[in-house]
Amino acid sequence: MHKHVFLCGLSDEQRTAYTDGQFLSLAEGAGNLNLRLDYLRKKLVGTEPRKLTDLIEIASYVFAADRTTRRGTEIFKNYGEDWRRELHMIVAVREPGFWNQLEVKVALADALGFASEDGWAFDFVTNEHPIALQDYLGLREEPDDAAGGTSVVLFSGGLDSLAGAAHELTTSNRHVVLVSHRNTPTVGALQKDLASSLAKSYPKRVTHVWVDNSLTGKLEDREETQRTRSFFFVAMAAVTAHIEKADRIRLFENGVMSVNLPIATQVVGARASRSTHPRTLYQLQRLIALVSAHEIEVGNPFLWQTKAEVIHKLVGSGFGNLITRSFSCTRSRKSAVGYAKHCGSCVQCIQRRISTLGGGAGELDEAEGYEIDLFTGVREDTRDRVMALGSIQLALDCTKITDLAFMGRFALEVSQVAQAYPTAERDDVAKKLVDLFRRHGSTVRDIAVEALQANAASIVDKTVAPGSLLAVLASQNINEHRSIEVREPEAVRPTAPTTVTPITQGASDQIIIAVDAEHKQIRVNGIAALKGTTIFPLLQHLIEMSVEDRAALLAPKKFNCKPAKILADDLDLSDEGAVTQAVSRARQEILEGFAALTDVRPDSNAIIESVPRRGYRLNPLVVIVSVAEFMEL
Amino acid sequence: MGHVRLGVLPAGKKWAEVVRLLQAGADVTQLADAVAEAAENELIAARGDPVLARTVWLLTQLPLAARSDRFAAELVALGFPQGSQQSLVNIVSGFSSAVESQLTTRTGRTDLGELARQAAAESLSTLVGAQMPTLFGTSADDVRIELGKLATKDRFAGLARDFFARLTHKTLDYYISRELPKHIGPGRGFASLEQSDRFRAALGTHCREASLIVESFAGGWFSKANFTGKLTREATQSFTDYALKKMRDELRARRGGDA
Repeated sequence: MHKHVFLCGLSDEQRTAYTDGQFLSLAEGAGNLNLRLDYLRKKLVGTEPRKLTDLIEIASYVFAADRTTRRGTEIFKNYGEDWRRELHMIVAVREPGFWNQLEVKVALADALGFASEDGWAFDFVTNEHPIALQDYLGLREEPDDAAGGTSVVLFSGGLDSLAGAAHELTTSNRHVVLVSHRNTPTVGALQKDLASSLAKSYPKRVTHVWVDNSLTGKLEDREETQRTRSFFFVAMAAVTAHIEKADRIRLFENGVMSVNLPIATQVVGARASRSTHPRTLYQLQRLIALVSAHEIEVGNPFLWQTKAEVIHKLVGSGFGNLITRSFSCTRSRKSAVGYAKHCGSCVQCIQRRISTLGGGAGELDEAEGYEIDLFTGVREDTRDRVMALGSIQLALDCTKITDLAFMGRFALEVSQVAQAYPTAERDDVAKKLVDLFRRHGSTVRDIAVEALQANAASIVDKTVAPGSLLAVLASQNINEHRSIEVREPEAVRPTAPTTVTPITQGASDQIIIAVDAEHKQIRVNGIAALKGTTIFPLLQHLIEMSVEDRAALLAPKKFNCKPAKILADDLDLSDEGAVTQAVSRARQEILEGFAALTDVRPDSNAIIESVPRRGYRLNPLVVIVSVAEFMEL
Repeated sequence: MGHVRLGVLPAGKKWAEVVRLLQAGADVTQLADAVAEAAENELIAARGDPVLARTVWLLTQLPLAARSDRFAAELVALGFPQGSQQSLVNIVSGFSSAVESQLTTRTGRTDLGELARQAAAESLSTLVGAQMPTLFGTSADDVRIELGKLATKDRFAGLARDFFARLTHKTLDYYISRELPKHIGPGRGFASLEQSDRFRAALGTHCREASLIVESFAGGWFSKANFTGKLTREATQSFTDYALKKMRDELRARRGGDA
């Protein structure tokens, strides 16, 4: 894992104290980052909120460090050793005494650590040339009606944020400040169009604020994942909330996308974005509570709704006509040349299309708006197929999943959601989560059935495009039954009684063995069973010889031995070399097992003894028992 | 941005063989061994993951804590948040927090550690949950009693087996899932979702069967180490390395019909 140091906003003199580190600065002209919060300057009254101003600068530096530091390649070599980064930020702030408090540093590192899976360390020094908050703000202003209170809503122009803004407007009389990031001019135009439409319906209750945050000079966007994005925007929302005297910051996202269960085993940790995950929002809330002078609630009111339910709500609020003008596609958002259509391949496009169809708004979200149709489009790129099939399979698996099977598959993810809630509420949270994904599964199942019905003729005529989702769904063999009810596979059960028994285990170093003929293995107390096409019959043979000697009441030193050549003949092996090789391997496994699991260091003759000029035998000191007896040891 | 980041299989002959087997819809034993073979060096490189080590350590300590009269305090000493004893969901949440609690940096962390954390949460949820009348809303006493039973030789062996079965399954599917969906559909290695489901289930069964080897020594190791006061972090690390090696040997042996 690589460590990266960033020197943020430090003066020339301060920088001389560090031998290493990438310099980041927001200073106009001399800096390499831009930060602009449009529309708000005239509303800023009273004393500058120094901690909040520090926060948006810290957030800008963090976001820049995130964007300029690569997470390794898509191969994820050595189980993704380069995915998680160590970032050390030395930041010049107005209030170093506050920011250097352990509690604050921990809150910062926690808020970033879960969302990004990176290690974040902070040290703060005095900002010798602070920039006034005013200088980050734009000049324009619109009249508003904030008599019912004010909410700050992060507004991407996607369906969920649109539905959220509509929800906030239609279910309250609050002033709604929409905060947007203008990735590209086309996305900016689209956000403006949607915000204007909302403002027309609710005059004086909608204000639209843009955040511009760009890298300049030699800094480049080198890492597209941007897992600290929500931290940056919540910081910007917090300063907006201060200026607008708002008591709410809303990040609207449906629960399925917010929780973002892994669509495949390869999707580990924050490879599935946690930007609006409940735990991320909980940690951001804690941080804002420390920094802000007044109380601001950070939340996602759509957490317990599927996207289809969100869309149903949007249509019900009278803004269904805006669906076609909203834009969800991440691939097109990243494109510098803007967009023409939704790509239809990224997870946002797939979920959007599933949900407009499932939410009864298919006609408001034209199929022509997607480069690839959800069901009939051909997907040959491996990652496109992983995305599409993974999303569909996950949903279908959840349709009638039992609680136990859900926990058997997503227990860690459930626990991470639960961690955002008090202990008394966590069981309810888990239950609601399973219900949420069952409902989502039912939606996907229903639209899959509709797609199959709508394309029945193509299926019968065998004209379905190979490589499409429809082809996969239609290829069900009539003799195959895909069980919808998903149960936890039968757990590995212990073979002994399940009653509570005392923890007793003798400390004896005696070696006890048993022949487990059923599984073709030799059980040895304390280490793994010995097995193999040569090792098992060899040991079984030596044990049988030893059992006969014991039955004959021979003295141990008279126990019989067999030379390798005779053993080879008895066991039908090629030659005596095969015997010595098997003995050597068995001894190695025995010694390795004892070394790993016990303090006992037996010599190489402990189980298979070599007697000079006589051959091999089972060591007479070894105790032989039946498998049943062995299991009771 | 990049809502879900996906990976691709590395280049090289061994990985090409994995792709070839998937194209052919190969049987599980062949594929499992081919993936294990191709990923062997990566697994060795990641074995020192501190999350993996702490996860197995906590799996040995949680059942013992449940046998204590001071269960709640013992949990806190292990790094669980206050109140974790209240229900199974809280235990699993607390376990996840406790894994993090004493790891101050991300140094050395890999996806293997995260897969281990997933496997442990799932093992605890299902082995304990299956004994409960209900999974959510369990009583603190019921949970403590069931967790305490995992401290017996045979029940710990079952827990270890379940954990390593899940972990092995995940470490294989971690790679397979990068490629498998390309081979699902008519005219491909797996003609339908049903066939792919069967394959996934067969891979799970294969790993469960292979994990019998872990059951054969885990209980004895746990109870003896505990009885002699030698259940240390170092001993647990050694146990973990040995278990992973034995699972690998077992996958290799099963392919050759040597199991």
